[in-house]
Amino acid sequence: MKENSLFELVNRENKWFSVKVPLDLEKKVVASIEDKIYRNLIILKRLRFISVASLSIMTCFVVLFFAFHNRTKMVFVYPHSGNEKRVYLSRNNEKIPMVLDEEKGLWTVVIHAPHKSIYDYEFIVEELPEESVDVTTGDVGVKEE
Amino acid sequence: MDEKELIRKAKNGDFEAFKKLVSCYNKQCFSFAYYHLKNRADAEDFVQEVFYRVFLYLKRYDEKRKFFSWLYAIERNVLMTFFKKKKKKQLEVEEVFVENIVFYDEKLNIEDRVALFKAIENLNEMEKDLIFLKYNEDLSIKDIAEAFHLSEENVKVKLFRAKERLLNLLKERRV
Repeated sequence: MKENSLFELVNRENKWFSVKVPLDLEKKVVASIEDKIYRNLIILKRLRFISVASLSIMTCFVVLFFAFHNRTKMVFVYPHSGNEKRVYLSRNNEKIPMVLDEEKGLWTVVIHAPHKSIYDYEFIVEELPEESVDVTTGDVGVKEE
Repeated sequence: MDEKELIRKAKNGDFEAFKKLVSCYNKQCFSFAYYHLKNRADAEDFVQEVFYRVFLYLKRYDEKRKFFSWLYAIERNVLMTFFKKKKKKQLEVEEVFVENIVFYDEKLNIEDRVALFKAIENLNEMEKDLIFLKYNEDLSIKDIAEAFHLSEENVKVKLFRAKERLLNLLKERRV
């Protein structure tokens, strides 16, 4: 008898069954979607921030790289008389010691100018035996490469 | 507001319209999930995943097509991913499972209810879905045909064969 009712059910053309749906399903679905959207927005924001930050860092790096490599190299030379203790190149109270090239008989120093412009440099000579300072101004011995 | 208007609004980013779409289809989606996954928690996750995909891909939805058949295609895809996660396609029919199903023939005892779903489990995927859409969702042959991209005649034949197979499986059980 019971078996027959099962066959009757399968033979009918109307609905056989329906699934019990949780009452709060709709709320849960909407809440989960809102949560996913919110989380994705945060991720998107972070990704955007990271991409902007990395782009800025890369730009800075490229600018610095080219700035460094495009700096004008200047070689300063000062004739060695044999009496100097030390020769300095000076600009804005900053003293840069020059190196003595005994073979050529020259004091030399290489400077990288930040950009092309006109700069004022001075040679400061510390002579022997008295420590007198001879200041020579002008473009003496300046070479640009 | 009719369904097309609702979809158009949801497509244009109206979340309230999207909520109404969820409200219209969440029961059907849950039933489909529970029918296949046999577990209420999994079915709830399934519904959330389906509607999240609907939200993401609604702009791609072609309005010439019935929304139900588009949703059904998404459901089938999500179902595949769920089965992949579970690493099996056939899940055990237990008494707890049938307790969450209302039968329109109250004379059926719990063993018969379990037997019916165990027999349904032995049908192929298409037959299972045909039985679900026709005898749970009460869809018309025309709507089922559209969901499966088949002719109405073809759906009738397949449904008839599915029922025959089901009856045979139930008879085998009795023997």
